[in-house]
Amino acid sequence: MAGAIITIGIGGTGVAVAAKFLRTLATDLAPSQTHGGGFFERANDGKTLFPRAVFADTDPVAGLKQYRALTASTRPLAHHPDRFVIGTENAARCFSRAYKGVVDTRIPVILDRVRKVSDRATKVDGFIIVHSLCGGTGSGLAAKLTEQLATEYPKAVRVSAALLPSYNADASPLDTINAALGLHKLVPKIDLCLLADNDALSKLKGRAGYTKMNRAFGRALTNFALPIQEGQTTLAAVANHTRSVTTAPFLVVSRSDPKPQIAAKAQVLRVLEGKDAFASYGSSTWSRPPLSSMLVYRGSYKLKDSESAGKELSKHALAGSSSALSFIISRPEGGVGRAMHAFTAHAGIGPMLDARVRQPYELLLDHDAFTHQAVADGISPATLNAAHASLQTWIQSYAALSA
Amino acid sequence: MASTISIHVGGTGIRLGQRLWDVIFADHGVSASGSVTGQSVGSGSGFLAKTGTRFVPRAIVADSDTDAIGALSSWSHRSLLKPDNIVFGSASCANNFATGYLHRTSLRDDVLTRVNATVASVSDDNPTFLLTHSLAGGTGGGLTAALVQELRSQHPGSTIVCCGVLRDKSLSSIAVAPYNEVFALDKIHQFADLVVVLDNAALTASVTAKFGQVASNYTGHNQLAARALGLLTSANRLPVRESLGFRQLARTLTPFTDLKLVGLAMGTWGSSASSDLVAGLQTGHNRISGIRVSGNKLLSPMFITSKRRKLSATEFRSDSRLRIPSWYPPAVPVVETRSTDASSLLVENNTGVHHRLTALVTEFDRMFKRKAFLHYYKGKGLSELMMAQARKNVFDLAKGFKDAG
Repeated sequence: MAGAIITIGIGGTGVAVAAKFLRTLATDLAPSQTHGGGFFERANDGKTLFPRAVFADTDPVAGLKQYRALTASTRPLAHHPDRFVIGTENAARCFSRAYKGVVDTRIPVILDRVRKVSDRATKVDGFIIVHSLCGGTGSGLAAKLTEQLATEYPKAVRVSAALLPSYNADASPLDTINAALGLHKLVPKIDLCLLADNDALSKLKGRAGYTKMNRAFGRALTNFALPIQEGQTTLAAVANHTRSVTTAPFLVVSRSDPKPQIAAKAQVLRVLEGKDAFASYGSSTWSRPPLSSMLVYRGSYKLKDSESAGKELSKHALAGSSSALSFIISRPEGGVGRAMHAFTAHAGIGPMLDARVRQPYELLLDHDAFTHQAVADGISPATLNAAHASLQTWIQSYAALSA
Repeated sequence: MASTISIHVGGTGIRLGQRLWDVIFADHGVSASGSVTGQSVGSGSGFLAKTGTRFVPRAIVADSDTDAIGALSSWSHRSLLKPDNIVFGSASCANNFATGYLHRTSLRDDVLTRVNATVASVSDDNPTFLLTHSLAGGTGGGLTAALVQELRSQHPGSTIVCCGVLRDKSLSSIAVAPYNEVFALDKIHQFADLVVVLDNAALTASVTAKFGQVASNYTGHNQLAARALGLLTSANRLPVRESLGFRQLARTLTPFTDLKLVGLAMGTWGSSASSDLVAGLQTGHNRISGIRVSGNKLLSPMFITSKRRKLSATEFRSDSRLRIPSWYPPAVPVVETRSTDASSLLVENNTGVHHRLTALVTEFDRMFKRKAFLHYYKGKGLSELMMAQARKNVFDLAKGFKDAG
């Protein structure tokens, strides 16, 4: 039997996305899966589903609000009340304050809750850590917690689902530093990093509010998890597949147009072309085929459609040395509806990270702007520079792949 | 959000504080009896404390004499102030920084007792302290400096935001004001996390532009400044999305260590374009901190606006008139709030503040060279060396701003 996969939602965005992800995934759970799959466990009554999840936020007020929202409206899920760990002071959008424990992040409590969840399973297969890289809690606490999880559960696969900085109205110049330091500390400890950003999401959803954007990301994660829940693959296999082609663990999330009249073949093309990517990178970078891709789509397309989609996939995604995994979910309708999602490693991720994180970060480092705050919280100047070097290494690895 | 404890020090600080509370009460619909009419006060809980069914300000007023405090009696919301939180001494500081800074220790400790009692009543680890005060006065400058210094050592994790008023030379007759301003600015800038500069000279220009004349008691000045501070705090009280704590605000606005002075510009907004707003915020009489636009760099901006129109951070970032340096990240923070004030506020860490500081140091030097009025300060225990050090610090601050970015 497959082991547990524990979802961890961190910070305001992380909690909201993780909650949405688990809720849609639960509606997709076949009633025959009496044990509740890797992501859930069933209560003794055989009906009630408990997610194998822990949520954490440092902000006491926002955290409490999130907690109430979570426990009020998550049917068919039941949340264990102590699986939500709320701190006493917010991180004020500073990676350093959460990472260095300037505010009480309550990591021992979070780890204790994770242990409580894992103790109820035979083994832990993996973690899905959902967070934003903009916020202080999302970047700092996620990085620190992942380090601890790596020590305590060395064999489990660790997947991060992260939002990159965006340029919308709520953005802050501090996001750049949070993202650079967050990625620097997080990425060495994880096997996969699914990327999205709110700029791309808000464009996709027609300048919608956070609720809709978080929902879109949550649904994408649901489709990422479905093949694993259905037993078609394992988290480890998915991670290995990506890591076989790139040294950096990044995957970009993209979604097909959910309009049913578009044929599966066209959907595959759209997804592979990155037209509906959840992370903004120029369409020109998509002219090259992806390095690897995992496609998840519903069996509601006619069989012929699915076949031609498969062909299209091998033609495009398998070009050159790249590879694709594709999964057809047998039950046609579920929480995610008909949307097709792709999780793609692509050479375009390099330039995207360069434009979105590395370049702004380098400018701040060069001018010593905002960096003194991180230093005051205990981040050494050497770490600040090392974060830039890490970014450069990943970006170069993509450049080498596309050459 | 973090609780905020407001402390209003000295005559100017109290009058400005009163106007600020008027704005806060209006925003949250708090009546003179403390009941809430209209929308929920919930998001204002950082500023207001609930006692029974009443919402009362989490505020402390302090002065070395009773003039300004006595004048509060005509204030409609006066009864909401906790009597204990009205702290006053028996003798004014007579416009001497040294008196307020060094010789009002028992008054300072009384204020701190009230502050700590208020701190004990909130659930936050590190509440924010928001101070309003003048820089030129003996109490506003001196007592505030002593308070801020003590608050910093007693509450190292708290955020301290000081809103200091610089005098208008043409209206103020205090000869020693430049001394007080330099000494106060030096100490307050050293210990606070953020110092919001309000320039009465610039406010005079705005008030004159609006009403054609200025009132002798600075009512117009304080009302205008309070509207700006109301918008500034509304990012904490009434955000449309995420609440912006004062720590985040302070950190977002201070890209460089030791350049913690920020200015305000308040403008209304005709059309829907952000360029229109930028133009308004560049106009002289909207710049109530007296920071010149031309030839200066905007080191860190923040827009606070009541939610009327969709704003794009990138539009502001690419607007060359704002003179945001090229190293600044693509994201300019724009906070949408539900403030009842339809104006928009630009909070800016601007190199242009060095003009004002340099002018202040020049005024200071003019007297200091001739040792004019120095005996007032020496007699109260401020050595010439300490004065020279304060002058150097403010001079260096001006230079730091001039060379930054």
